Amino acid sequence: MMELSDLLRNAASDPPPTSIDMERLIAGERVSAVRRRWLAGGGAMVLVVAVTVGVTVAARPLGDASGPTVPSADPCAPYLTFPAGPGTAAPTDTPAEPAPTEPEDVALVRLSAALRDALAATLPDAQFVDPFSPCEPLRFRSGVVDSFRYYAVAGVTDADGFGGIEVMVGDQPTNPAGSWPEHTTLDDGTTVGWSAVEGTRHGADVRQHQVLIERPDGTAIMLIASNYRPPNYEITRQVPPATVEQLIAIGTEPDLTLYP
Amino acid sequence: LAPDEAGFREFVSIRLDGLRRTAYLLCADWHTADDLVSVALVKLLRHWRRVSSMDNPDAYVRRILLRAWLDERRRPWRREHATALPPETAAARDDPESRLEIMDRLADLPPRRRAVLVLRFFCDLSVAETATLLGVSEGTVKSQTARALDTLRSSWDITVLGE
Repeated sequence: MMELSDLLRNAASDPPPTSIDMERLIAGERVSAVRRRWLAGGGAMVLVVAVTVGVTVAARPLGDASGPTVPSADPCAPYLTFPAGPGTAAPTDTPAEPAPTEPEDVALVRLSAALRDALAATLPDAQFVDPFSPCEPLRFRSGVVDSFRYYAVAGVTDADGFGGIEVMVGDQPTNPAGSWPEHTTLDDGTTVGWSAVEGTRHGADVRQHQVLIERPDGTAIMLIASNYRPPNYEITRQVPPATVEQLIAIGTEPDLTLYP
Repeated sequence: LAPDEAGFREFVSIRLDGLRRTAYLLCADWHTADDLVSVALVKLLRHWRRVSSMDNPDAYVRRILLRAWLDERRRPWRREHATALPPETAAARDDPESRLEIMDRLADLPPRRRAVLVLRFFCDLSVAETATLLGVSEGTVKSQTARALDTLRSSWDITVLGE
């Protein structure tokens, strides 16, 4: 007979050294606070500019939808759906995020076009499909994750099989790139952290490449390439569909920013 | 901001270890746990002036942590994702089998039931405190606790204090 509290305490004992860098975290928040104050002061002007730019960008063609690769009776049927809201409802007393600098619908269109361009340029032999709407162009969505403002996921098909690439854009890195075990600073001041994750799931080898990019303008971009795809997390390849270098190339696409 | 930062540092330095352990029991991965705690700390720092004047800032931090974890689980592509080869297993000490087994059992529970167990039996919160934190009724906490314990007991001989 074992006591549950003791079991839980034992399970969480001996934690490894933390990767949380308190000084970096505080310094990052100082920068964010300055930026928020500046944005609050110049918000109206930014809004006018953003709307003007947004109207121009929205007029651009969205590009062709990638062909669906889903073995489904209806090729346009989504094979990923968002979980229902009530089951994942968050506690209510949570802090408000800073106001967006650009209308959300404008940012979604602009960023989606930038992502499609970056994916096509970096992985020219791959096909990309939006698992939420397989017959429509890949696009960002908001409200999927809390720590990043915009989220996109692409099912990837190439000569090696299926895989996935997630891209998240926000202004608040979950763990600053500079605190990642592998990181570097590019010439323009962009900080890049990366990691290769290996593990098993139901006996299968699962691999991910993860990259976090922090631009000097404050934009944070998280990219994750996985060697599996939903809904059954089928593994058809040994390695993710993009290398760390390719993820960095995608994430450093100049237009992939919150502050155009 | 300096006086606020000093208070923040003191608050966090005392609680960081506990927050990491709580996050680990929720997500079962130390790397992810650090990510979740980082999210919580950034938000805590952003609202530190208001939070520091609260009667129970710990509840606020736990709430943010829970939200970060539930949010992490919402990410559709990662709902079933790899458990990184955990360096922490190398440090397993006295009873690694039970340690891994309890994490496996927790992983089988729906997230809210898992959260209820962690909050009640690791964080030592009362039913009322747990209900407030999760935004549900006390009755829901009791029923979730009972179901979660039933699940654990179906394969394990465990007891809880006070029963």
